[in-house]
Amino acid sequence: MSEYSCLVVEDSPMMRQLLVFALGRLKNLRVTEADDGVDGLRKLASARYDIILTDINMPIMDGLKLVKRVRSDPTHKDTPIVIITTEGASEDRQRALQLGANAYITKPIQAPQVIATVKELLKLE
Amino acid sequence: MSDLKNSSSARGSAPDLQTERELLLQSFHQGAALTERLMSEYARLKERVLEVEEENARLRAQLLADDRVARLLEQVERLERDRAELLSRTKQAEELRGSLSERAIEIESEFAHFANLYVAGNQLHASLTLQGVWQRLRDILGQLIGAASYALYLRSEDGARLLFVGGEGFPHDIPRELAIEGSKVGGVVSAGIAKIDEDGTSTAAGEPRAIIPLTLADKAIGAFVIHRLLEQKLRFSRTDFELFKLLGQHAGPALVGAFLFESGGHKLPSAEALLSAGF
Repeated sequence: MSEYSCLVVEDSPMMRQLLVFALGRLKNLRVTEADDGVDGLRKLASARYDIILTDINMPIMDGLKLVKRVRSDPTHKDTPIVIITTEGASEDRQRALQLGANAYITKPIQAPQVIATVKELLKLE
Repeated sequence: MSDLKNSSSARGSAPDLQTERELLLQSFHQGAALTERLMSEYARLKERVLEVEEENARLRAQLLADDRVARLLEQVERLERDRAELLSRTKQAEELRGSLSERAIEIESEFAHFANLYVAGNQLHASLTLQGVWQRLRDILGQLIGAASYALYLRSEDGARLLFVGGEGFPHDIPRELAIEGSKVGGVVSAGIAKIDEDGTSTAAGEPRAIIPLTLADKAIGAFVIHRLLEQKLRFSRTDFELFKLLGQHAGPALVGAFLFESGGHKLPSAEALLSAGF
C-alpha cells in the first residue's frame, strides 16, 4: 500500500495539532507541519508532498502567497492544495481558488470534513 | 351300418358325390374365408399391439417427463426457499451495514469531539506567557467554538467590577467596565453558573449568546462573553459545552500561571523552591 505525504501550513499551534490529529485517522498518510508560508516553502523545497493544507491568515507569508508560489513551481504545480478559511472570508477563498487551490475547508474545523476532503483529493478509499 | 349302406348307395349315385363335393368345396371356401378373416384379424391385432406398444412407450415417456417436472418443481421450490433465505440474510446484512455505518459516523464524531477537547486542554497549558495563553484562548473561542465576537472580563481588585481585558469582533461601544451587582455578566460571575443560549432563540437581539464564568480555586475571577457566532454556526454543539467547561475551569489557572511566570522574570521554580513552599 503506497504512503502519502501531507504538508500542513498553519501558524496556530492549536489548529495545527487539531489538523494533525484529524489527518492521523488516515492510514498511510505522513504529516509534516509548517508554522507559516515561508516555513512551508522551505519544506516544499526539500521534499515532495502529495497534498498541502494551508491556512490563509498567517504572519510572514500568508496562504494566498503560498498558493501562488506553489503553483508557479513546476515541481508542485499539480499538488492538490486545500485552503482553510473562515466562512466570512469569501473573497480570500475565491482568490485562492483562482490562484489554483483545489478545495477549501471552513472554520471551525470539523475532523470528518478534513478527512473527507483529503480522501477525495488523494482518491483514497 | 346304415351310413355304410348310404355310402354304398351313394357310391352308386353321381348326384350324391356331386353334392358331397359341393359341400366339401363349400366347407373349404368357408375355411378359406375363416382363415382370411383370421389373417385379417391377426393383422389388425398385430397393428393394435404396435399401437398399444407405441402408446405404452409414449405413456412411459410422459411418466418420465412428469417425474422430471416434479423433480424440477421440487428443485424450484428449494431454490425459492434458498432465495428467500438469501434475501433475508442480505436484508440483515444491509441492516447491519447501515447500523455499522451509523456507528462509524458516531465514532468519528466522538473522535472529533475528544480530539477538540484534548487539543484545547493540551494547548491551553502549553504556554507560560500571557500572550501565548490569550492566543490559545482566542483559538478555542474563534476556531473551535466558532465565536465571531467575544470578550474577556476579569474581576477588578476591589472585586466589585468586571474589567474588559480583551476580545475580538466586538462592537466599539462594548462596555469596558461592568458592575458585579446589577449587570447580567456580573450576575453570572456571582452565581458561578454559565448562561448559554443554545440556538439563539431564547434571548433578545443584542443579548450575549453565552456567558461563561472563569473560576479559580472555587472563586469566580471573570467571564467570557460570546456575543455572536460565525455565520455557519447556528447552534452550540455538545463539544462546545465541554469546551465551555474547559475554559471555565482552566482559563483562569492558565492566565494566573502565565502571569506569575512573567512576573517572576520567566524563572522556573527549582526543586528547593517547591520543597520550601511545602511540596
